Amino acid sequence: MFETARARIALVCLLLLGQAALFPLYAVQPVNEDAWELADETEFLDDPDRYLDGPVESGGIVQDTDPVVIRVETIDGTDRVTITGATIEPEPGDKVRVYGTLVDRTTIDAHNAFVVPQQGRWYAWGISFLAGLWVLTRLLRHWTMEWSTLGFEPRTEPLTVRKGVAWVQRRWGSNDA
Amino acid sequence: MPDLLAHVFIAYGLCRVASWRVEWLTTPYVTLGMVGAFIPDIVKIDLALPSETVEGLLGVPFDWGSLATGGGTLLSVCIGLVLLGSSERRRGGLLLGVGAGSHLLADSLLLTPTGRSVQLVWPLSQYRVPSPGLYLSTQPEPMFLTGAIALLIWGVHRYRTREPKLGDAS
Repeated sequence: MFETARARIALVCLLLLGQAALFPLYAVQPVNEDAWELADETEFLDDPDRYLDGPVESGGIVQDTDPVVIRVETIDGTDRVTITGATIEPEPGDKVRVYGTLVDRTTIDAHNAFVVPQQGRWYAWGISFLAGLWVLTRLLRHWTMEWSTLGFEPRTEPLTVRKGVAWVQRRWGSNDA
Repeated sequence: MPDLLAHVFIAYGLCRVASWRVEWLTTPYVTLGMVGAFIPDIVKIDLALPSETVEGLLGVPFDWGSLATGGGTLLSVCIGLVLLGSSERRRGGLLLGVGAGSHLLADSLLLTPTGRSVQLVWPLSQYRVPSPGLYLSTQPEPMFLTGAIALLIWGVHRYRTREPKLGDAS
């Protein structure tokens, strides 16, 4: 099964269609408090009466600190949500995540909230990039693609820099007499 | 989730230790386990192209978040499986799955405002698993701890696979 390049391409496209079908399904999954799938800013800002006095969660970048006001992203742009009753001391620019009760359209009385500092977010980006480089390097060293079938096979010997350079020269180097 | 490097360290550690018992689990397959650990983090495409932006452009509901659920991760692992050579599909698919699964399990330990984390079996169920709230993805401590353990495992592996010196008793 799936031995040929054509079969692989067809099946990958089918699986990608499956993924594409999940994106809108995930977006429209209903609020389900029993499963802890709570309303967030995309729901309570749009229909506050439905979620008033109920549990909601949200997160955004701190704009003001007294009271704490965060900027949240919605499909229509951005909005501001006020957080009351939280024992946090964020700085403007930090990210705050909150779970609490919706007391009006743009106010949450917090049950639990915490701060994600700005430098933490930069750390996550940088370290993820390093992880990506490491894994990509290992993948290139240990696996190769059989281009006729588009199937990955393990190399019999790990690729080295010397072998890689030699391959590039053979493939695209000049044909000296 | 812990940062991606921590996830990769976890997958490396699990697969490398397993390789001491499973003869066919050589270094290329350990690498596949590490690739598998990447899979749920494809959801980070949201940082470059937010779901709200795509929804606005397409005019239909849209959320990348499904990529980090059990169902979305399974589809992504299947894509990897299809791209493997037929003789590598069973073993390679297993290692991709181990890596991806370890990622989801580590994510289930994350600190969240609600005390609930990933939807491990979505779309079969919306249930979010309870989380002990051990860490944020932006904290470096999990990376340092998993990195230290991975380094130790690497050292033990190097010792186990060292070539015998001349003059060693046969």
